[in-house]
Amino acid sequence: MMKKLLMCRVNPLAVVLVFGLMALSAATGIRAAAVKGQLRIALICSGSVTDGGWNQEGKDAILVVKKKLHAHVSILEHISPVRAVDVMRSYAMRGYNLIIGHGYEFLIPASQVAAMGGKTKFAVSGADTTKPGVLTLNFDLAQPSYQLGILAAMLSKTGKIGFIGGEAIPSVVACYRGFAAGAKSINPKIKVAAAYTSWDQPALSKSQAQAFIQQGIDVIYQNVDAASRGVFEAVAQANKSHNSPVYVFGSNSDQNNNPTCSRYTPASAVIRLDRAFLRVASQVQRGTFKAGVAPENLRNNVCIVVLNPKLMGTVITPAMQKALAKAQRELLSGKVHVKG
Amino acid sequence: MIRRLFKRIWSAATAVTLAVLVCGAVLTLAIGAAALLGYPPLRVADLWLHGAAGSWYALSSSCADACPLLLTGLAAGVAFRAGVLNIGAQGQFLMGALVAVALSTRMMICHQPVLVIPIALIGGALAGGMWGLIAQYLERYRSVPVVLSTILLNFVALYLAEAALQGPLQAVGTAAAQSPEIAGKYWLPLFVAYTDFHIGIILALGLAVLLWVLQERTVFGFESQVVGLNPGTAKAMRMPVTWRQFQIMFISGGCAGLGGAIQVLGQVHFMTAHMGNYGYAGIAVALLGRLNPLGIILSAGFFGFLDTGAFRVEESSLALPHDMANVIKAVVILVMLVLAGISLWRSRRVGNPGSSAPTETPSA
Repeated sequence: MMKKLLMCRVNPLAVVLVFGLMALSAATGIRAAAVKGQLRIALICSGSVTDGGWNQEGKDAILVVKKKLHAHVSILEHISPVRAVDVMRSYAMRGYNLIIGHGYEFLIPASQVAAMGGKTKFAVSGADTTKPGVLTLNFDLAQPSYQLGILAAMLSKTGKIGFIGGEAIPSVVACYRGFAAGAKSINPKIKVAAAYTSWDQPALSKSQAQAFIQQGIDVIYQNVDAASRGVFEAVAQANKSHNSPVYVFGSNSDQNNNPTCSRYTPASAVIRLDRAFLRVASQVQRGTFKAGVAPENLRNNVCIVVLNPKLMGTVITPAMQKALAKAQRELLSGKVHVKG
Repeated sequence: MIRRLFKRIWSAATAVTLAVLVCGAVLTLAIGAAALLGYPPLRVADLWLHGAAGSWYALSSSCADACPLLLTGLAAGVAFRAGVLNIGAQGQFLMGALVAVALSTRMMICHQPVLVIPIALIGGALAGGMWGLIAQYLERYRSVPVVLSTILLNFVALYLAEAALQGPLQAVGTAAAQSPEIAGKYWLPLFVAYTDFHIGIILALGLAVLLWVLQERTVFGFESQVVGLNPGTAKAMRMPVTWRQFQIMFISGGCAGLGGAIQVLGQVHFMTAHMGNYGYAGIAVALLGRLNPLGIILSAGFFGFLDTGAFRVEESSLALPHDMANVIKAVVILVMLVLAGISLWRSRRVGNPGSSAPTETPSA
């Protein structure tokens, strides 16, 4: 029987299955139903939403919006710029109110779909310029990095601190500039080293952190997204063998509770994506959404420093907290200016 | 002659029909697997089919997605058939896209769309071809295997593209590594309004037919095939083995480069270094199409259908996870390849002369 089936030019079983499937498909005609009047939001990510970095933060933030606004949310991962126009247009055609492209690479596709007309609003997070019909969320971590620089200078026993970035792009270099400026405002003689490794290679960031520690650096500020695990491992290992502690700062998300070395992570420079997304979604809901560039920084409480509550009073002294509060006031009043 | 040609096309068509029908059955089984994970199979099937081919718009999305796959598939198919193991279609695709973007944004020779578009397309194809020739040169004169150099050149192309997109080709006013948007008048024209049917799709189809004629009906095609099957015999028969390999590599790279150019001019209209893995996917497309340009057309269409349908299911309220959609696609492709193997075994066993591809695996 099997042999007969193989020798047959057109497999009858296959014909029955295919036409059966088509008939059933046509007969059912099921379509995704939406609750009338519900805010519908689509989040488009370039990578996996379980990457432990930028994309996962985007997913977590949009789920907060979903909960607070009772919105319908659709998350699409692994979308390249090549595919972005197609999926954005598909969402727009299905009546989604807001489409968020999570990354600068979605700016041009979003503007292309916005130009086609319709009521859908478009936002792009992480870009620094805008296009017609698109709201850009421009995150500025330079100010919280300035505060971390102050903390680093006060924590350092060796007078040497280091910065590891994923890539020497302007937004990351701005973090280094802010960090160095903050440290030098406390100790003008402090040495601030900088290195740029990778966003997604923990081994590379680990070896860089180990090299820093061997040079006597005892506070490291990392902005390497999903590769941060490598830096945490290097710091954890160093603290097992060193007499004096080595500290590390988190970035983008609150990494104070990282499972590897939370005891040596006093603070993180955090982008509160949930606050930015919630504000934009609320604007869409109220009809006050406007395209353009939205600076997201310390002033609107989106880019902030989050201290590790477990280390308050021990590693983070009241004097450090006072210095951080003072720096925040100066940054907000414009007395201190850090170039973003 | 016409009768023979008709017989051959009929033979290929029936083989492909078998493949498509069986693949439909496999898709059904794969969707059944989705049911095991708690997703309603009929709804998944419905969304998948309607999303990929349920309307002119959906069909155009599938075709537009298949277009670069067709060209990178042709790149792999042409090369493998001639024994040139070109794994570098990804790099050639990127170089083609890069040159096309440069010629239609920053390095414009003129401003007439009727000239800019062909210049960008030809420039892209030439860039891909020249990039491929580097690997062939390294093999011929420096004994570096093509399979190795083409893989490594993919990385060179990727980082070169990144450097260009953060340097001379970077869009003004942004720190992002991306090119400026190509002006609307230089986009490839659509032949059905409000869809993704751009003329690049017709160009790709025309090129596939041309390559089929070249392979099946010319001395060049015959010689390339002999060079691929047995270079020693080809040399003994005084065929220009090296020259043919260089020519094949240029054609192969040119196809991939044209794919990149069509992608930026017809579909994306700007460039980042992350333009999708069309070059690598093209190898699977070529093998599924049994290295036959006509088979590759259907194979690429099938991949486009699968991809587009998968996204429609993912973005639906079912929210099928991307990984699950990939599992379904992978199962379908794997079973298709096994079936292609069975089909080949069957045709050899029966001694069927209708088998269009002389070999499944390229000789090293």
